Amino acid sequence: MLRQFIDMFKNSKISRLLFTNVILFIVGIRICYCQDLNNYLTISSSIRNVNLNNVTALETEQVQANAFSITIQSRHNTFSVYAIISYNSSSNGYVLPLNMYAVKLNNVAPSRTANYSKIPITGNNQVIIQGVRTNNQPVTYTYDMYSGPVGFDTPPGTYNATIIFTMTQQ
Amino acid sequence: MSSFQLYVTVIFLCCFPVLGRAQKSLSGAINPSLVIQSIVAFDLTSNSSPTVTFTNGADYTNDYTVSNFNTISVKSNLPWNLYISSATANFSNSGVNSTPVTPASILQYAVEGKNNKVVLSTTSQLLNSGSPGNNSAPGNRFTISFTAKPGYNYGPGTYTISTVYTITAQ
Repeated sequence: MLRQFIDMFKNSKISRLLFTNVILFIVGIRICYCQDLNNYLTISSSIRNVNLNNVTALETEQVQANAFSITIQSRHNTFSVYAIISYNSSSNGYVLPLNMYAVKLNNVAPSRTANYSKIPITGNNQVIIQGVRTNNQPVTYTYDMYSGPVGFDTPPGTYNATIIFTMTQQ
Repeated sequence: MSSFQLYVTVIFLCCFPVLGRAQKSLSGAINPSLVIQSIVAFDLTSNSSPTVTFTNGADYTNDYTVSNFNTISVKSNLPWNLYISSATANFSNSGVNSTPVTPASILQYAVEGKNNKVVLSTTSQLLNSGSPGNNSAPGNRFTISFTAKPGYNYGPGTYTISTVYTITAQ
């Protein structure tokens, strides 16, 4: 019965046309994905919860060194990485101000020109990396994470945030 | 190899590389969290000597007030209450003519600028309340005065008592 089905299918003009289109479609997709093989961004995070449990902790900026790394490979002439923050939950419904976090480049490997300034992360996309093609060797940017100072106007609770990094290429 | 088998082979060859490369991405995210604990604290500054010397008759019968005795600076991320009490029910006394049982109640404390006075006892009594904020927030920095009115019921001598301030979240 299977043999009959296959014979019927391979003798049909429609099925041949269908196969041809499927192959063209898949090959097309494959070409698109080929760009991702050499053009990508990956995040490696060791970020911890920041526990603010005394007066000093509320009054001072908290720093987590080497909190996360962004590894980039790009074969385009230039690339940029943007960061944007969105708070997605808190235990008390209170929304933190959007200027609570900042990042600062700690290290680039292999070494290359980069922006080592502290960059506040806000609700608008901020450029944190601008670079030129990496060719076949990925480049890893390692960042320190800054938070606060929270101060005393923010009620106690747990505040979770998401920072999204997006690479664009030209 | 029939044309059908060829099609199937080509499709498989195309599909596997596509699936393998689809994991690369041009964006990523991290999820930082802030855990803010309840913080209620104050600093106490003594502005005047805690020693009061009664030297004439009027001091015994009139209210003997020490203004600007203490300054209290509150830092809190919750609404707060400040309570006052004495460590003991009576003063400790020294001197041959001193009176052994001299109650804490001959002292009254008040927040300057407010009308209510608290008669000192071993029971914690509300002295002041305030809102979240650091010590520059309105109402979070204030001075305290105390008044003594011993009358003639207590003999000459030296009397000592400890006053306890306690702050809690409302």
